[in-house]
Amino acid sequence: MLEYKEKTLDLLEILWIAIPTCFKIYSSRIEGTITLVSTIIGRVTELGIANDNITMLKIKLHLLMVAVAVNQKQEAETLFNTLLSEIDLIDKLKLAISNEYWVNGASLATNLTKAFFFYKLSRGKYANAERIHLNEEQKEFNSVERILKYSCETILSKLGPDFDFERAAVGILTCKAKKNANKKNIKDQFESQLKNAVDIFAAHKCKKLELKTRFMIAEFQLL
Amino acid sequence: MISSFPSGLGWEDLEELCHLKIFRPDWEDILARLLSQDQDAEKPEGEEIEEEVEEEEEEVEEEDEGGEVSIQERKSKINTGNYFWITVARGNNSNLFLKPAQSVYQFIAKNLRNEYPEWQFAKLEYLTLFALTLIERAKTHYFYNEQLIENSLVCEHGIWNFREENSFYKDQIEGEMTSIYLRRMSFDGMKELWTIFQEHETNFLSCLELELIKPLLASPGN
Repeated sequence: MLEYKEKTLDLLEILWIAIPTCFKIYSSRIEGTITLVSTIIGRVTELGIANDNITMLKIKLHLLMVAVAVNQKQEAETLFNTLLSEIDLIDKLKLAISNEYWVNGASLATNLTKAFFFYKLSRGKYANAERIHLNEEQKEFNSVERILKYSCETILSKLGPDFDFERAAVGILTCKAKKNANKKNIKDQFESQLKNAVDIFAAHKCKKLELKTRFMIAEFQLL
Repeated sequence: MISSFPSGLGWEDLEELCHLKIFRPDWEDILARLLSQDQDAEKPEGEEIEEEVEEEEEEVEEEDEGGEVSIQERKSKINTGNYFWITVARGNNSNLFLKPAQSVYQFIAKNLRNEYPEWQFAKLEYLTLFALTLIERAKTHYFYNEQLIENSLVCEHGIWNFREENSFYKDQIEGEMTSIYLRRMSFDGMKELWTIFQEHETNFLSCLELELIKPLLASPGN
């Protein structure tokens, strides 16, 4: 019989991410969800327990906070600063994890989120985007296609079928970024990748993503 | 135990807690006895409402021709009203909802947390199942669609998959979770699930109280 301590930590590993997920789904106050996630991160720190599972819980909470933020129509500069500081915190937390598979998974999630932010930024989805000043090196580093190709795809090559959904997401974002940049001949390059993504989203019962991907395929047919 | 849930519990929650062996099988009789003792000591408010409810329930009982004890009959043992330690009310869907008095919740949280860590553990365990089912229902009924960048427990892939060695995952998720009452209910829209979430919102937030969790982390075992 496991001790209460171990069983409680196993419970918290799930419960403390399930609660903010419920708030993300059912609460209309986005700021409230972000505050809640921030509170839980504080509680995890106060527990004073250092192991891979608890550190991973903290990373997931930071990732959840960033996902809630980037999916909103926020002020670009504030969001950019939040994103950078959260990614910085996640990178520090990753150093304490011994499981390489999880480290790669966390790196993939941060890079995918970052690419998604820069894609939305390039599409003018955030307010006052002109206030973000990137130098040439940052522009180069933060190019959506570059993040997806050199970070996400490299990490994905080390990960198994558990990450097929992320593979599909990388494919979709790459295709969107190339289309956004008016790149030629992307139809042949991405058709099979998009069809594969449709199957993956269907298997995960993600109807909205499946429909959006089918719409992209249809758009390519008309090009 | 009921008083460990600050925003209270519905009748179905209590039945579920019994099914999960957290409550004794005779919990209804114990609860009815406790409430009738209170009633003898002090007449609760809302007496008229109770009488109306009793009349309604008698009618239902008359209609019920089944051999088994019906839910209505079982519920009829519990009288609605404001008792010194709990409020028993009937919700819009005619279900009973039991909410502890704030002072009683505070007393239990402060004074009994070290004596009865199993109560707190059972509460965490039940609310974990409940939260996961709320997520699963929203997804299954397409009330909520996973976003490209979701990063939450809505995801069933990558780092969001449950760790197979996790004792809760091994003990509960693959077995008992299928029995949770939310899975048996049908929903016409998001509003019904949203109401259920709202009823339990404070219960969820109480799971973040470290002074209630720390005794569990210091407890030798069960």
